[in-house]
Amino acid sequence: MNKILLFIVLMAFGTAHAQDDKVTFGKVSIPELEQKFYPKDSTAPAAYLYRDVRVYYDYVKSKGFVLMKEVHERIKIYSKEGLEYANQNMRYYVGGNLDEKITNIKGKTYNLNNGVVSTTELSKSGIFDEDMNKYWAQKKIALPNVREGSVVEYKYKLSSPYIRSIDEIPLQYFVPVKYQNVRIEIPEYYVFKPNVKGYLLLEPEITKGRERINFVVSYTGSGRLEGASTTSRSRSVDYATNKMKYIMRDVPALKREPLVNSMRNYLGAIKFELQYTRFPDSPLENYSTSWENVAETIYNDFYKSEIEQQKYFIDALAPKLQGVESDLEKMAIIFNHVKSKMTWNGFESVAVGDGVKKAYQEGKGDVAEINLMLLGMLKYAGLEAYPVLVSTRDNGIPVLPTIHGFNYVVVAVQFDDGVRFLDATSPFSMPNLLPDRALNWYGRVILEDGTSSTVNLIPKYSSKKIINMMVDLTENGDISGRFREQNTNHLAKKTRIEYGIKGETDFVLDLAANYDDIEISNYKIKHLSDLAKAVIQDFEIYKEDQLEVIDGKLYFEPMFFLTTKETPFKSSVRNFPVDFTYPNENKYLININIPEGYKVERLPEATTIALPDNIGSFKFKAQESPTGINVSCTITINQSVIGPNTYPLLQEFFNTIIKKQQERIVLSR
Amino acid sequence: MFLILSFVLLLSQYAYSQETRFAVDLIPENLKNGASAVVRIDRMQIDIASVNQFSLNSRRAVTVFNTSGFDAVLSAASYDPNKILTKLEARIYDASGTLIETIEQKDFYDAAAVDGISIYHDNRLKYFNYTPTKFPITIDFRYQQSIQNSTAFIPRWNPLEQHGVNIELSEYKLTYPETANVSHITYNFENYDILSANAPGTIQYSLVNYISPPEEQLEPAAHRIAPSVVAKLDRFTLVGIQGDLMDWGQFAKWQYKNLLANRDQLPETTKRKIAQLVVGIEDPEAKARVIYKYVQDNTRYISVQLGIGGWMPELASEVDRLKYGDCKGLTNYTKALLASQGIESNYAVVWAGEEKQNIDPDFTSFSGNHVILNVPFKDKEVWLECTNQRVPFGYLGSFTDNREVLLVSPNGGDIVSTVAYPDSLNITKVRAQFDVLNNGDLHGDLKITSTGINYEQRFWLTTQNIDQQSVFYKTLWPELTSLSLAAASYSDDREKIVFKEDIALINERYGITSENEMRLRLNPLAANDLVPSRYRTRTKPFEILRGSVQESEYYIKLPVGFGLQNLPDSVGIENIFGTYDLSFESLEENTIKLTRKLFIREGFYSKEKYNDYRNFMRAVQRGDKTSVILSKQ
Repeated sequence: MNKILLFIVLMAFGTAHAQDDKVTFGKVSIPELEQKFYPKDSTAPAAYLYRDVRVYYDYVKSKGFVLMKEVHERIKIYSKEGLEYANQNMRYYVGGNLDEKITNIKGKTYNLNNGVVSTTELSKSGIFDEDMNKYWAQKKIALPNVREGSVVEYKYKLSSPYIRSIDEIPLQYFVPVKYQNVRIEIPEYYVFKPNVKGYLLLEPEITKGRERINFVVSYTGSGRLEGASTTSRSRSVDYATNKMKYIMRDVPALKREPLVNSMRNYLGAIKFELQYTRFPDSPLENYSTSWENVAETIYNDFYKSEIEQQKYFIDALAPKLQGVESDLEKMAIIFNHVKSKMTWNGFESVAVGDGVKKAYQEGKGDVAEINLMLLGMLKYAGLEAYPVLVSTRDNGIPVLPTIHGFNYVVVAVQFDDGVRFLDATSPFSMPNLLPDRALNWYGRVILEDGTSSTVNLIPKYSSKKIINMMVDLTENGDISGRFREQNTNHLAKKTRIEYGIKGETDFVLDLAANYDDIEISNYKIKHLSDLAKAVIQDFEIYKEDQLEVIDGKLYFEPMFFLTTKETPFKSSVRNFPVDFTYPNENKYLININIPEGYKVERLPEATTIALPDNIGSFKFKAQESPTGINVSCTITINQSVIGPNTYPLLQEFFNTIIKKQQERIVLSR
Repeated sequence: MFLILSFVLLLSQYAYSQETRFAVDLIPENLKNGASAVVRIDRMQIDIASVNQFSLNSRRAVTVFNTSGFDAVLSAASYDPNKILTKLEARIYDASGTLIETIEQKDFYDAAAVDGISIYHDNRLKYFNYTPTKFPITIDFRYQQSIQNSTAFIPRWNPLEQHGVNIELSEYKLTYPETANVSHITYNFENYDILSANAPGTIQYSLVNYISPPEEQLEPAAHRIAPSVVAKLDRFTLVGIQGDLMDWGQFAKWQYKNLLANRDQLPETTKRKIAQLVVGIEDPEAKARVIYKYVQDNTRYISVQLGIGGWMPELASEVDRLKYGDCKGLTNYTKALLASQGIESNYAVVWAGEEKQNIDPDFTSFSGNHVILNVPFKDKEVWLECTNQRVPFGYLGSFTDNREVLLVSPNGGDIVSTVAYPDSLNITKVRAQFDVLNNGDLHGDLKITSTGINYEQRFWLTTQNIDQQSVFYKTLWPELTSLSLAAASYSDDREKIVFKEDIALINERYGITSENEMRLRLNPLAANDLVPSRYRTRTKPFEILRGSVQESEYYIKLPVGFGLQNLPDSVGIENIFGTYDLSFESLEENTIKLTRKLFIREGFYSKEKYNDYRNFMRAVQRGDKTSVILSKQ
């Protein structure tokens, strides 16, 4: 985990000063209205001038504790592009037995008219309530009378019966935040662990408070002679609250960057996870405290019973394993059995929905059902196999030990020569070829006694794309010839999946479009289901206008339409690691038959460059052959995650590649 | 006994025919070949019960061959307070046509229909999800809608709505009682084999075994080439209000009376404020400009689709209070503000979108998806787009230009044309000085002027920061791979609709140096996307929606110590699509002058002409990419 933290650049900004700049709802200052742009980011179309979020527990007589969230936000609109910030949505959960509620919505818009502040209130007609689906509803507000320069302000209360889960509180947006004060006040009975997500660095100020609950206790007597009688007595309970306060100033707007694992990993927010509850006169009830505990909880509560079920598959599986000795072979048989039997329904989950047995009968299931059934079968066959908990790329990198830190599970099988990771959710899956979504740096493997440890999921082996192209070049710039593309490992899987999803017609159309609109004919694809082999595509190509004539000489790029046209790394600064998902190699071998009557006048020089620490390399060579020219070009990336400190080198690396590929070959008569 | 036996026999025959109906083997080979999905049945049956209500029975059975084929299933049905879903069911069949699963009404999901524009509306959806365990499968989805209190919007038949999905049978059937007068119109039937079975009380069309060509570049909009049927009741109900659809004049009168009249009242304070804004201005057009600017600076677009079928504008007084509204509300508000200063204007209903679509003058029906404002002055008329805070007064741009719209006024209505931007007046002129240095670096000073429809591609640049502007120019000029924008200043003449850019740029290593020479592309601003795709067989006509002129004059100063032996050849092409002229001239001080003019006409052309057009653009591309070799002297 430390390694990951090293990659994340922590941005400095004012933080955690003791005093707060409390703003009163309804009182806006003239300078706020006069301001023409946000001083620290003049291009921001809007900015949060003030955010106040308070999360606390309210004791309601008939209900007990209710989780409350009060939000007050003030936004300045600088330009017409910022007008959208005058519309706000607030989601609330309606999918359980009890609903969340949003109340006390108030909103105001302030404008400056001839130096005087004019205020327009949000009226009922500007508040909309929408049932989005079975689980979620939202209140939408449209603040009135908003124009460039306006300040809008709104507040609301959300009350939730789900007192054990505190929603993630955002701390960063795609526009800047000038000041925010986020407070969380939790009774001593509930112990949560906060986790600040993203690249904001901050420490809360922690204090303690005291609260008292007054309530009435009724006793009903049942003496034989008196009959039933009721007496009431007032009681009270004192308890402590743990208060956390985050005060932040000048939080910059989050800017998007290309080739980032997932922007969600970097958007600043605080998450809370319940660790345990401790009520008076009750034993401590553990929820999650450490990665080990989380794993153990998941294993004991969710997995054990699923893995131990065997009856449902024995009849079908046992005959297939009859007489098979080798563990590797057993694994292959079981893996194929699950893959051919099961279809993934698209749901990612760490716990099963309907359970392995029902999923098996229906032939479809979620991630946990499919992979736990696989695990159960592997163990039945006597293999040493374990579940591995994963947080997908979309779910972010789990920093805090929580159940929600995981949303995916795969299987690890131990062999003498090492571990093989399995995921049976795709028919094209192979051992050690986990889907991209699961390749989020680390996973957690759980042993049978519930103990666990981290494992690196990023593959060490390379996925290769090898292209052989043999073309005839004509004097007027047409090329035609054969094209053969081999893909291995992850790239092979990607090809198989895309081909499966699209079907050949659409797949070939997209392939042609990816190669600069070449024409493809006689298309053939091999080893689609022979997963141990590289996928091989073989076809004929045709493309016009591939050369320039200058003073009677022919100029063309040695790789034609395969030339890398632009670098993905145009931005001069980089905050987040560059993530290639897995190590890869692109190799091009091109034979060009040159038009009759021409000879080679100039070839680009051969080049080899390498990034430090064996991160990557680039080799390029063009040579004359009896019928023309042979070109070879190899780009290798050995490390899939590259930190921002190496970014300038990576940028230079790609610029060199592009420049070299664009050097022309010159033919003359 | 005999009776029972024959009953069983009948039943099994029935079951048999049911099972095999969707067998994949029954799809004609030419429809199945390479397809991701084939529409087996797409049937709309509309039964008009009375002037007040009708029902729609929809059935769509699609055989899906792979995951991407699921897009053709259309697994949702919509409803709202006046449109009730009375039946909903999806049946799943395997390749042999055997029923394997039924998704019943209770298993459908419910969700708000998100249109991406409205903050709120009352349309909702019921939809189903299905994960197939193997392909192919056939999904037979049926639903029934009962539409109460409204017969204004009879669903249209657009059988080719989806590109590249082959169709075994698409059928449209509308029945109506003798008491209802129903008329209909067909569009673009001429190139399709559409069967008709019309009879008294029935309108019926079908399309059988149709192979749907894939989408092609530059193909005309569906409303220009795809078949469709539009039907209407001559006497209709719109959420309880009755009206006539006999001709546009009467319909516009009805619309004015029922949807617009008396919705234009404004508070006195607002009227006074507006009066103050225009005080001292005599010319009505100048007044209108001030009022339009007031609307742009004080309102924003928010779509709330409630009210009568989404056709009645919000009260002007309410928009005045909230300062937001949808197109109807903001247009009606602007109209009211103008009227308060004695300027009359007309509410105009339009089909908005880049692809120009007319309100059909010859067939009166509920049409259009947007509203703009027409303001007649003594010697001219002006069109106002009231939902956009940035466009100049009177500028419609490609969203609503050059098409027939319906003007709604108290005395009736009229079909008129909006402003057109003729191809010869959509001009972008570039005059540039380029200095090429010894190391190949390029320094450029550019002055660009854009008018007509070309104005809209540029005028928003003033609201962008320099990073966003750089991205715009990098995309526009792909040859300048390391472009850095040294300075950019703009002047926006919003009255004459002229946008001027004054740009200084640097592109390192533009000229490619090697040993004793430098290779130089003489037009640094050449585009690389001029040539549309090649098709072995082009199946559809093509259309240049808006023509334009590009005029360039570049002075390229060559690096000191480098010389050019031969000037490249000039190019001059003239054909039905336009003209292209390119010439080079040697000037003093090692300078080359490049003069270029490209004129592309607006036009609609047959598929046979496509290759000619493509070859024209290839020649243009080749000319634009002319390179020279400079040698060291």
